[in-house]
Amino acid sequence: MKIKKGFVLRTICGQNVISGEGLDQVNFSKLISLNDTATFLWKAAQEGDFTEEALVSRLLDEYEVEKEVAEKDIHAMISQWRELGLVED
Amino acid sequence: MEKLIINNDILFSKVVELLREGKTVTIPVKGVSMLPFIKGERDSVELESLCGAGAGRSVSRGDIVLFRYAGRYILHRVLDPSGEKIVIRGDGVPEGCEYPSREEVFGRVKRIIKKGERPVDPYTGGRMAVWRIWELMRPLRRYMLALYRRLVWPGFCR
Repeated sequence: MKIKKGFVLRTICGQNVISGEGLDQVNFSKLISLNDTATFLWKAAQEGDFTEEALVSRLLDEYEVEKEVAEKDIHAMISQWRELGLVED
Repeated sequence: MEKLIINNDILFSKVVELLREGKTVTIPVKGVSMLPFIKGERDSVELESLCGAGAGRSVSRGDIVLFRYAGRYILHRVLDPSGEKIVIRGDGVPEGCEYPSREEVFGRVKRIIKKGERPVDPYTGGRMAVWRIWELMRPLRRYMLALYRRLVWPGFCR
């Protein structure tokens, strides 16, 4: 799967947020806020096609978490991203 | 989902920066000062640039604009664009105007985005006519707003 075109990660007021942007359009009425871990994963996911497993291993490389916990959290996060329409297959 | 609150000055300096580049920027609206035409906390507005390299037009009477005045960013309507300072007032404000200079007027509302409805062009002949009537009745505005809040939109802004 991959992240849909048109979402830009910005730092506003120390907060990492994703806003929907077209070529000449920026929408601040719907911002999605990311914590540090989610920001790290968003950047990893933005590199191109990704899978849940790939993100789990990136997370394990960077943070000290147990594999089961990482798998569960990433699954939940990606379901949420899907729900919000941020990713496509 | 949690509501994300961003400091006004920081958000707006970003918005103005993007407008200067000629981008169209959508922002949520707060407050009651543009009632009955724009409802704060419910509507968003799409802004087009009036400043910098991206400016596509100049200001006209009746335009709803984003500007900075007395250190605040405000979205109100232009009454008189002819002078050195532009005369602006909120549709939902009974008295008092703002007088920003031209350089402090950054963007113009192109469309009003209302939840679950099609985006609204505020400058159609019909809507401008309604606004002109609303302007003519300004001496009664205080009472009309009170009535509006009571009848049309109860439960709002206590």
